[in-house]
Amino acid sequence: MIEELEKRINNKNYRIINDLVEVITTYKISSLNELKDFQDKSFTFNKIILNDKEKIDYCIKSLKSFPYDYDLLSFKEIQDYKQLMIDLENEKEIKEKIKLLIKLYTLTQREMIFPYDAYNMLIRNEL
Amino acid sequence: MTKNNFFENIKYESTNLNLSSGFDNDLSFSINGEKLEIPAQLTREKIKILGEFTFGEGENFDFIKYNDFRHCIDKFSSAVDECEYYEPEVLKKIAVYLELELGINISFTDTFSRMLANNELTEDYEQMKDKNFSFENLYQKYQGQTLRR
Repeated sequence: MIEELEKRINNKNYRIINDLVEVITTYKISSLNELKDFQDKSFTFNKIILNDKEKIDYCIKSLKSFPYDYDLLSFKEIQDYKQLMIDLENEKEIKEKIKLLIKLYTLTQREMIFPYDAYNMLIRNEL
Repeated sequence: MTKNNFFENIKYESTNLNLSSGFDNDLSFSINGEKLEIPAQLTREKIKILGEFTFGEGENFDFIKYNDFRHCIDKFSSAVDECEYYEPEVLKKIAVYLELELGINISFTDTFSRMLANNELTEDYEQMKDKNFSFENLYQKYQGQTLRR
């Protein structure tokens, strides 16, 4: 898995790949199924896995409830953050919303929340 | 490369270096015609090292014997994440050193050539361990050598 990600590193996605590799190595994940289970666990409440819309709402709520310390971001990163938040509010497509959330989580140095989706997007060169 | 045999790995990489004279970092870090910037280059090397150490070390790297080495990789990994606070050339040297220890093909070939020319690869982990081996000491050692040039 890591080798596949390594091949896809570019100047735009290297931080996302870095965060994903952190998850894979920290939790010793060795297959795509394990990665999916790991992601599902983060979205399981009372033994029920949230649907995509609920997952997105949960992440947005979490971003808004625990705002990032802006002092730790550069001027450009703050601009990027604001733009991503606006894009997220305007976006209708579930997949695009997930992509924006992955970028927002990485930008604000939070642990990767959609590792399975991120992996698949990166492999398809969509991220 | 041979796993866990630092000096054999240096020999192997030096031979490759001679075979591919003119081969430089730019080629190692060009992906689809785009050259990776330094933070992305360091991140890619860090990922190679973490992947090998987490999944590939197997029985070659005894957990207790290589405890300091494990801590060093941890610290190196954090330093790469905050590479704006560190000297990139020193981090590259540490990446080369770690890759030679782990038997990973190196990509910072320019850095490796310079380290060879300046005699900076004379001690492996086993030898350095007695002198309080740590990321900080390694950083200081290579920083000192970089500053002297």
